[in-house]
Amino acid sequence: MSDAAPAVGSGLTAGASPAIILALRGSGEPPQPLPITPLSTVDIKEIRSIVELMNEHGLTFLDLSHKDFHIKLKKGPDLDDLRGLMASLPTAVGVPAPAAEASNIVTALPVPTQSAPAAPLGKEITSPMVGTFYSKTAPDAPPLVNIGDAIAVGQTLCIIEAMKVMNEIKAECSGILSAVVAEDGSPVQFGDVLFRIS
Amino acid sequence: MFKRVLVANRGEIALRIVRACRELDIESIAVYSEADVDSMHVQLADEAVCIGPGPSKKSYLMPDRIIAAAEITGAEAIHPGYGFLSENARFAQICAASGFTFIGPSADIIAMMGDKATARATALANGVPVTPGSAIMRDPEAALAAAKEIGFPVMIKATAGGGGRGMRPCFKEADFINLFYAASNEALVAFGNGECYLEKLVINPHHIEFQVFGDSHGNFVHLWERDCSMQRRNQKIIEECPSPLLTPELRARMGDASVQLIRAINYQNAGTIEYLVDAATQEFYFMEMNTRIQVEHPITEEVMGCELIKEQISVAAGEPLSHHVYKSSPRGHAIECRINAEDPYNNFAPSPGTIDLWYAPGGKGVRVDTHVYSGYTVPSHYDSLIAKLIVTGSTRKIAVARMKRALGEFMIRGIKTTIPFQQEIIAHPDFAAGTYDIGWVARFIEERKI
Repeated sequence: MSDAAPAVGSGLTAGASPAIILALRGSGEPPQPLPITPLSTVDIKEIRSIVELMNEHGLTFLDLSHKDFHIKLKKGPDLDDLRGLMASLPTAVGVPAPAAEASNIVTALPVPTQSAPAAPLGKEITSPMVGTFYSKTAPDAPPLVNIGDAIAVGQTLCIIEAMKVMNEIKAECSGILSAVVAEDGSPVQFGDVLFRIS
Repeated sequence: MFKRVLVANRGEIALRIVRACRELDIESIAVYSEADVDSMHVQLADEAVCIGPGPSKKSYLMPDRIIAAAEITGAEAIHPGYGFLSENARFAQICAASGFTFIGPSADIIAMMGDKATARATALANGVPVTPGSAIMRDPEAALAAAKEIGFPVMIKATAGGGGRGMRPCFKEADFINLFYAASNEALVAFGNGECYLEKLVINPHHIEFQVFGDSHGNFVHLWERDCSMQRRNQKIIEECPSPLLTPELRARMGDASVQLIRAINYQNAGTIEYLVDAATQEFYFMEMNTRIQVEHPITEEVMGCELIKEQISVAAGEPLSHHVYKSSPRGHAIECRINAEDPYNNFAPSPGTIDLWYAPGGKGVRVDTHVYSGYTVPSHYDSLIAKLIVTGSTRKIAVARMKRALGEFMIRGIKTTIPFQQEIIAHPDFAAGTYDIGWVARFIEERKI
């Protein structure tokens, strides 16, 4: 195909089918062919007038349907087509996996699951704050709670230290302690699972 | 130099800080709310700590959680970004008391210049012109009397306000009391402090701000200005550097006043002094000082060839201003569009949601600062800024054409954005001519009856 901006309708005769109209382009741009229905019912002169009208009024796109005839004339780059192309690409493009160099101490958590099914071992008790988790009040003291203990509302379950303050974390529900998930002396973030109560 | 820095912010600025840290070989620690778990800055930081649920009040605005996160990750310094706790003197104080370097000026400076009424007094005392105004007015009736003395129209401004909130222009005496309460309540909710003062409202002023920087070695500089007059309801939407308005003479006067002020108060680290300029009289008036990095800092970086976030970190670590900052000189012209997740044709209603198609522009002189990517869900808890589109050209004319081109390429599908509105502004002859003031957007919207 020629690179020069072609005259509309070059090489076409009325009655030829299927015919191709070359879209108008600015100088230097390659023409883009558009398939259309046969031209038998349309005069090339009419098309030329349409093109001239478009230029006169600064139009860049015309889409005309009439009985068994349909014509599309485009001038300039087509962002709609580009959007369509982009839309057909898999939308997962660009979503990165968690960085390989993410730390192993405290990494990004998956969103704490309101929608996940209840863990088989019971209800999760999650950390209401950020800090260092301790299961006992002093290094040589026994753990505050043990698996199998009956837990009452308001009972102190653990200590979370932050900003030099030892915060007592209290149970908001009662039950039997079924699991101790957090490790004594380890850092915890908001939402980390500390215990399970059944 | 620090080995580990905690980024006490979210969104695009958090990513910006993470990037600066990475280039300085500093390990970055992100803190995030549950609503931000998929944010890019969380993915790219070296470590990340969840500090609370979505609402800012329960996460990003909790100093103790941020300090606790710094404790458990071994951070040495904390960069507060902009907004949130960045201008909270108490937070700066707690950082210092807990043994962390707050990347910014001291708590005392933040308290002094962050309080708008005190800042005005400080500016005045140091030879910087200010608009006629009042001290903090606690009683609405006394405020009304002061307003009458200043002369209407007046601007009612919350002393703790920022980002355009806690401000109400008042043109008529009859509206004053209601507007006073409105400004006060808005500030109380957003910043926890509802105290207000008054300022004479300069008609059709230009908002021109100077980037300043001080270090602990007695060096104080300004890095030219940014013109931020393109505002909607006191929120900036387009900024440019240099200002099309300033003559070299006016720039020299404003720059000298700015450096004089920060030298007098021994201001450390990055800051911005905001002025109102009356184009007709070439008078400039101190409005307020932001004791933090600004959203629009990239346009200064592009024109002045400096790296402001890195400079904040190195100055906080005790180093003197870098040579390229101290000796910076401008080259070319930069424009920034703040892309917000808002529907500009529906009264800028927020448009949170999932972006299922994202194509950001590129090519020569195009910079996009964003935490957003294809598939990202914009949460509803926070401000609506999703990207900053910055273009640079060797002349203003080239920069304008470049912004036009870049906005036209930017594809964001799934939410509404301000892009089409900004395209209209950039294409407007007033923008091409550089003749717009703070009232321009309001008049433009009115004329179009959006």
